[in-house]
Amino acid sequence: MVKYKSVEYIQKLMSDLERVRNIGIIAHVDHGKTTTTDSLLAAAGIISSKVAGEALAMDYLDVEQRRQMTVKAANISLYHEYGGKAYVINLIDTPGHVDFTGKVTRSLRVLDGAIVVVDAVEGVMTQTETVLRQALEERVRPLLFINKIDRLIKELRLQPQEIQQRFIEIIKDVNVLIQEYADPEFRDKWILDPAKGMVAFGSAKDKIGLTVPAAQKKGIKVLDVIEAYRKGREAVEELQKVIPLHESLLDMVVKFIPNPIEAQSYRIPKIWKGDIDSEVGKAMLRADPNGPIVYLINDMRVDPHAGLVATGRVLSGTLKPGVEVWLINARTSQRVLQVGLYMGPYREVVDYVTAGNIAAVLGLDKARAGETAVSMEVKDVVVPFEKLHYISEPVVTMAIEPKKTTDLMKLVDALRKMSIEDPNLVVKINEETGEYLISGMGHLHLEIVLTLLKEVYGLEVETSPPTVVYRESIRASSQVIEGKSPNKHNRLYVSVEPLNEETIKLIQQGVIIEDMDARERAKILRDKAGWDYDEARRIWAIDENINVLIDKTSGVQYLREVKDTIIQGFRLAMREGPLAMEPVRGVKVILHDALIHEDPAHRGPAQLYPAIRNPIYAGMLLSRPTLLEPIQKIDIRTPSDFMSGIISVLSKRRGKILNVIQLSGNLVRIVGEIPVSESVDLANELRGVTAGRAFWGTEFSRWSPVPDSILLDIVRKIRERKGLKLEPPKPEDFMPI
Amino acid sequence: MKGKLYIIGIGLTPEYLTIKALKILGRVKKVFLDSYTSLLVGDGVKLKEVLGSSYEMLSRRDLEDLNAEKLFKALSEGDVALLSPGDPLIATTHVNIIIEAWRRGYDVEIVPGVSIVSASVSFTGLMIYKLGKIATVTYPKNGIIYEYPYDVVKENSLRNLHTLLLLEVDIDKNIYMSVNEAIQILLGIEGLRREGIITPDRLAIGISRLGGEDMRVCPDSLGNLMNMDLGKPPHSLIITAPKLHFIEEEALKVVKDVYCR
Ligand SMILES: Nc1nc2c(ncn2[C@@H]2O[C@H](COP(=O)(O)OP(=O)(O)O)[C@@H](O)[C@H]2O)c(=O)[nH]1
Repeated sequence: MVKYKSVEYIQKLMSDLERVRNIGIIAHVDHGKTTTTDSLLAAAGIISSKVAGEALAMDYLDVEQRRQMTVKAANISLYHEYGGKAYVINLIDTPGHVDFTGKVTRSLRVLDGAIVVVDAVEGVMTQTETVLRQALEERVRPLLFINKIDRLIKELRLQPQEIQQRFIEIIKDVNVLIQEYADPEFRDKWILDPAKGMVAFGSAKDKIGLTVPAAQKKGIKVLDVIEAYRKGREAVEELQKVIPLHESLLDMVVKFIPNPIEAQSYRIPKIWKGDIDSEVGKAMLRADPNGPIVYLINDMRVDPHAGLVATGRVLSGTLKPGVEVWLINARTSQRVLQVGLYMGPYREVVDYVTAGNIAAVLGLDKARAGETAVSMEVKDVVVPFEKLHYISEPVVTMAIEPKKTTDLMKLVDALRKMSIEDPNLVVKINEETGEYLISGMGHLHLEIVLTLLKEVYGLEVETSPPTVVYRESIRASSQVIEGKSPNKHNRLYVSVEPLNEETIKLIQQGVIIEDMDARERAKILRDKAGWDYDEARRIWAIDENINVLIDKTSGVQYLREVKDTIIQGFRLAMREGPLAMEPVRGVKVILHDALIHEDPAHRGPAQLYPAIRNPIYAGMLLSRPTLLEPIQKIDIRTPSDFMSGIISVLSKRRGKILNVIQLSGNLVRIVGEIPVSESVDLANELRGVTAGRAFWGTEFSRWSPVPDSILLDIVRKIRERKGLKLEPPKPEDFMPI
Repeated sequence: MKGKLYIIGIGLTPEYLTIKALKILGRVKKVFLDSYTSLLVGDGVKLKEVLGSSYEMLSRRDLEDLNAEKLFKALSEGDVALLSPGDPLIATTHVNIIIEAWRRGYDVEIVPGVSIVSASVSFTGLMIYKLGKIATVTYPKNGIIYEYPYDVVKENSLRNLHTLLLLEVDIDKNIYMSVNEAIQILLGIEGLRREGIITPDRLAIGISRLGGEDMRVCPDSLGNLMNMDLGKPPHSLIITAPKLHFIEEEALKVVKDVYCR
């Protein structure tokens, strides 16, 4: 297949959206996403004819080099012919790692379809399930690739009958998820039917792949594949020519994944909270190249030569260099300096990129992944696709410093770049100690960060032992408490109560955000979370840890002038709660009344921060305060002999078993939960009790109150670590005379 | 023995201390100085020399965040004087301390001092009858611009009244707003509000170190004052009523000659 194409040709193809597909690959870690991407890039990656000379060499790049390229590219464009027509398929990078699920949701939003890769031996695993569920929630249509079938033949030595049985089971598992999570109108259409060619079977490593229709057309049977593997290398390579993996996968994509116009017509109403009947709304539904610009950025990377590169999908309008766009979340405008499209894994500069396509943009360095950039003229009308999406939250923190003190600036710079590329990595400075702290989604996430620091930036670092991050919350409501400013001339009357689960969920999912129409928000809160409509109308602020500030005052003089100061004071207070100075979560703060000094000299931040903080803290301490700890979900597959050993390891660590499922071949799947604080060194212990025969995955599940019996103990330990006096404060300490 | 709390105004400089104040200071057990509400204009005459005794400084933290614990501890042991620059209760929040002391059963006495408020009338020849509400101009904080002084100037102007503007002082951080900065901030608010209240051609009086040897009182347009160097802090600013009384007009000419050389 000829992959050498001129940029002009590709651009022409892209202007006919019927010839474009935007897809991603999702998989549980190690199921073969990278290998599959590699083989697609090698077999169908577009190579710019301009750099053909260089590119020619690429085919001979060693595997490791190509792998790095696959891992590094934000998008890879592929070329495929099907039914006599040419297609451009954008394969957009979706980080598949366990600890990056927040990032996955973001990238899913720019995809219309996804190839779900499942290891034939391991079957559907936790992350397969989570990511597939998220994909379905974003109306991304799934297709299935059952990978590593060579292992069924070579390792498990299964008979054709058993192999078929295995396929049926996996397809059934995936279909159960589609049945459960797909919107009703797509359920029947999207249920995977292998007979129609919605499922491919193969080996990414050996680059072979087969669908039922392809098998029929080419006269190949599963038996032939088994035969080839039995015969050895040469026979497999022979087979590769007959049933190349990229062909079955890309045929499937072109046939079943909708083109961008069709996809946007049913996906926009789901993924965008704005008014569908507005001009912008309609333009996005049609992927109108003449509409206002709406550019959804799903990836920001630091290119050593070009600086910050944004990659995202143009949902409406046409991106051109020189145009000024408004970054909704950053609340600023910036000028597009350069527009590019992807030729294979490389960016090529072009004059414009139209709606429905994936564009790379230089110049938007104030944007972060998740940003929505829009034309200036609609800047006040468009709601962003994502405000703060809280699906995954950093739960493990460690202090970090370079081994060589002279490397400090280099470290700071590297961390800055990495946190731009990975918004789930949070880097902070401890103001008192001057230490750098990094927080991530789990022990594993931070390990990866350290590896990257070493491999990409050549930095050797020392770290403190990782500490688990907690949240402070309450389990009862307080009465109204008077908060005084230090000069006693300002008084705020405040009460606190827990937010209900529904509200927390709505905020976490980004359905309820700070920056939305107050009436719209109030309606949702009333209908879905049982709020009083009037109270919901009066929300002043929603902070990043899911706390809400409500203004229930009426007719308070000078309140308008101090509103922002009070909001800032609220945000600051919620960052460090009264129990252990951990962030507060799930608290509703209500301002009932206020008396404000008339002169600004006597009601600045120094006066008002304490005036709002103190009654919040006193109220929390009076409302059955507790710590919430992060809980991980753990999903284990093991031969059933080791089940009891695993269960005892988990229960010793305060773990819970949620489900035990009998699988074929003496395997069981154990789904459970375990507090992150109890999962240090869990891997070693599990390996120990299962003789290394079990495999598992973990991911963040939820925040849960710590048992009362150990609450005070944990509080004291955190306080000790932070150099605070051991005993937590009493409510009176925040209610001065 | 339960002490008595005297809350005493020093006046513009230590030389303005009243005889009554000096008598009290001579007999109390402990003297505190509020070191944060305003900057005391010294001119070489040190407070210590005038008092002849030593005093302890109280910071904002001592008086506000720590609920004046030091002061109340001393009160439980005998009479205490709290000295404050200017007048102790004009443009401060100390009234709270009096209320608290009384609540705790201590006797209290207030000794006024010459305040910037009355002195700015005295030194400018403006009429007290035409002085409107006062306000403080503060620096924008965390992106929040405090528009209150603008509203006060507006209200006063509508009623043809003068506005005395005190300027933000943060002694802990060694920050003293100058007349130049204050005018910039006010014109900035005008830029936001566009109501034509504070314009560069409006007559105002820039004041610095009132009561000190090197004090200055300079009537001029806001535009000119914005670039005028009035010297060391503290500064304040009067935005005069849109229409001056003819006596005020004549007085201002004299004031300019005398105090703005
Ligand atoms: N036996 C076999 N191994 C494979 C196959 N595809 C991938 N692998 C191996 O599985 C491991 C994980 O694959 P990778 O592509 O890195 O998975 P990812 O974590 O999903 O990106 C690697 O060691 C691959 O070599 C396959 O078809 N057969």
